[in-house]
Amino acid sequence: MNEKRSIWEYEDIVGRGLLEDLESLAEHIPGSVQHINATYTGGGVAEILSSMIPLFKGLGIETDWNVIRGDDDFFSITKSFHNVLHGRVEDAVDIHAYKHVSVLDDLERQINELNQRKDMLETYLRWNKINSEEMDLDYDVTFVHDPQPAALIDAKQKGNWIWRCHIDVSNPDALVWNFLKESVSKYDASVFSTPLFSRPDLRIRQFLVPPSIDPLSDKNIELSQSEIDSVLDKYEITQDKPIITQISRFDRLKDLPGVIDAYKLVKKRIDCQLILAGGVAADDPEGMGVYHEVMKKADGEADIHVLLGSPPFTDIEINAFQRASTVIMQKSLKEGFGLVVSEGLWKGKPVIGGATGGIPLQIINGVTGYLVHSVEGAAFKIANLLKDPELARKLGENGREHVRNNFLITRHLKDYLLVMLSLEDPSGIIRL
Amino acid sequence: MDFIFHKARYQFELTGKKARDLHEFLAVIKEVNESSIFNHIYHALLDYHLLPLEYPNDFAYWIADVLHEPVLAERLANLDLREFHDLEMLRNRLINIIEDYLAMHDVTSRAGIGQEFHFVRCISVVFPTRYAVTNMNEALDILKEIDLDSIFYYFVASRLLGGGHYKLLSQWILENDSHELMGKLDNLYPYGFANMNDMRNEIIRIIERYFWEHL
Repeated sequence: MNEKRSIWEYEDIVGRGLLEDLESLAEHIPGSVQHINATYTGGGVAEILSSMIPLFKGLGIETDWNVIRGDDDFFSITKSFHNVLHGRVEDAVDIHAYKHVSVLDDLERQINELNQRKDMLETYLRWNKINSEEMDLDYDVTFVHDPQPAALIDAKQKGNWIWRCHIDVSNPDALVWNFLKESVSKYDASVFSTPLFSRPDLRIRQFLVPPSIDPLSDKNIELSQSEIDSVLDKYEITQDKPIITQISRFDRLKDLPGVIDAYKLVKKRIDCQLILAGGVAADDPEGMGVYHEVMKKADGEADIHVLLGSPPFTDIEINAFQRASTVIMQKSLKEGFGLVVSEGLWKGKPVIGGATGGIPLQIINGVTGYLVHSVEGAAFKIANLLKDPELARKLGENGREHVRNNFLITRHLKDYLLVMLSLEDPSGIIRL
Repeated sequence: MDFIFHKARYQFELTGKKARDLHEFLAVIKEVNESSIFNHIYHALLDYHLLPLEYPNDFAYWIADVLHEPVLAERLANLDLREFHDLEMLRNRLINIIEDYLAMHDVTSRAGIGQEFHFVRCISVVFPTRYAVTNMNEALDILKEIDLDSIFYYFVASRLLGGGHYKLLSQWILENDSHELMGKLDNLYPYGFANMNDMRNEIIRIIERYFWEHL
């Protein structure tokens, strides 16, 4: 990843002031910067870094992005870490059942489980050590993203090390968190997306940096009407009636049945159609089951388009679905930050979402969309927006401004520069 | 002498302090870093792009939205910030308002998990802009086009959080013009305006009127 991108490509979107500030701040960044995570492709972190690293370079900051390697066991363990740190109770079983336990008496079983956990943690540390020996860690600032490479800190040679946590660790599995905390506590600082995702027992500095979307990426770039039409034609969706859309994985926590129920209530009064588009996560054994349940609930109704992206939808296709929509839904029962909300708002669409995770930071109730707590609430708000296009337009316009000011990659870049500068001086007022 | 306009950008950092009820909230208000008080009271002034929210600061919003104490929330929303020349005065007023309320009301509501108030402080990173002026006429032109972060920095943040640039601006105006103009600018306080753009317009109006009267 050696490409550079000029921040000035964003001038029409964010204006000169912020870009001039980025240049001023970048002049004071001390030396070289490295970002380390687990993958170059797939998932939100890789998506953000793909946009971010060329901008760092474009600002003249010597920046590298490197990923760690590991075997299947390592990535299976870190996936379990991710799930149990995220507070998904049902996945806590996975970590305890890692390498299946045969049926023994309770004491023997407990001893086996403890040994397996020990094996698991040792595998995690072993791969981090292998990576630390293979990687160049000689940078002035090192951002380490998420739990997978967190133990690289043991090989710190110089500079400031920042642990950037993208997931919600507010309600984690205690065993895994306490293990991870031993590494994280050695960092110079941590960064969380929102206070809700942070930890009270972490004694290092905790900065707040929300995630972001890239308005120039395929997922968010402006599309012509013909490009939108062509995607909808491909999926045999007409645009002769309002479209309600939820883009999300087929996952129980996204409450797709609830979205269908809300749609059906609205449909009794207003002719409209529903798009449910998403994929099934490769590591989610329940995904196809949820898809079939959703198909059954849709019951063959012509105006419900349940679209399973297999192969995955392209970013342009997702973009087109959102741009063709009248109202966008994200009726999650539990959510991480939920950046898909910002994607919808950026396209000037009102978004109706569940009040969970990072969604309330993006949907300001009654200003950029609506936060709802029930099927009936969702139906009522959808109907209001379909009946009142001017209201929908106004909320969408507010939403776009809210994202412009708070959830674009340029703001994210500014925050990373400020975090690096903040570490140079703990006083609270830094004069450049 | 040239005057170079500065501005600040703010990075937010958790203080590690949070509150789930009004008693905990009061206890933290008494001890939290003043940059956290500043952040929660003033940052909304920079969110000028949104429709006005019902409550103009984070404290009032949380007390209304989570603790369901609208009377107290309205009292905290209607602080006249012109009265406070430093953040300790503001802190003391917040304490007085909350203590008075607690003395008269049995407040038992408690935030659920995930609804706690997290006290966040802001770190100011101050740096020069490309704008330099040699006299008040040039300064007036610059004030019309400089971005609102600079206006916020000089007329709000620098006065309350330190950083010294408001004093430098005062000295420069005194060297180039008069105590009378500086006095008028000194009396500007941000909560008299719906947003920073309105405050900028008032600053420009004051300077233009001053010029007109002293032609």
